[in-house]
Amino acid sequence: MKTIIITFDGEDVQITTEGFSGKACKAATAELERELGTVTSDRTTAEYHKVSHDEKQA
Amino acid sequence: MSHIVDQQCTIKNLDALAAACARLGLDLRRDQKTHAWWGRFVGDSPGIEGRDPATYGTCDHAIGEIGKISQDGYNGNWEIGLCRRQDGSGYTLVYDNYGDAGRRLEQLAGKGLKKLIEEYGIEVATRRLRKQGYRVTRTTDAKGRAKLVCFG
Repeated sequence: MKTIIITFDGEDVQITTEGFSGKACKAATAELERELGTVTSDRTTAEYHKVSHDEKQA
Repeated sequence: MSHIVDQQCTIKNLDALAAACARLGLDLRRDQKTHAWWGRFVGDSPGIEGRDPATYGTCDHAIGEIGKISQDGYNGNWEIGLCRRQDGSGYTLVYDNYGDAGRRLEQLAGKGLKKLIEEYGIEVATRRLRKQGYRVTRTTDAKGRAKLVCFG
């Protein structure tokens, strides 16, 4: 299941996405990141680099 | 996990801020151009970086305790000022933390206004992700920090 977890500590926010394949996670949080403020770091995980089944078929 | 983003929350959305204020017993006083504080800069602190002390107490909007009328000075009802940033990126929050009046603001909004900023971030994130169709649940993590878990 696609999950977004957001942790707040004063003005510091951490957004973690789980269950997304490929670039879909970035699309899911792009607007949220823009509305919240300034990104200070952004790191992808192994799941991000996994090509989705749909992308392979295309 | 897919990706992890760290960011700094900036006050931009006044409607979300108003909702966050209400949860803390505060109200957003839109377009109020002054905020209550001690009343004059006495030089006992570093002051506000980048601002002339002659402009202290001025703002674009203010936040005060619900039901309390703005009043400067000792034993007053002080307020938080929202000052539009010159680069257009949002607002800076300013307030006087001196004495009982300053401590009252921190009781409500947190030391350094931490609680207010967190509630604002939570409101912005909740609105955005519900709009995207996520089911949003608020909880706390193992360190006691506020956390939203959103299922899509």
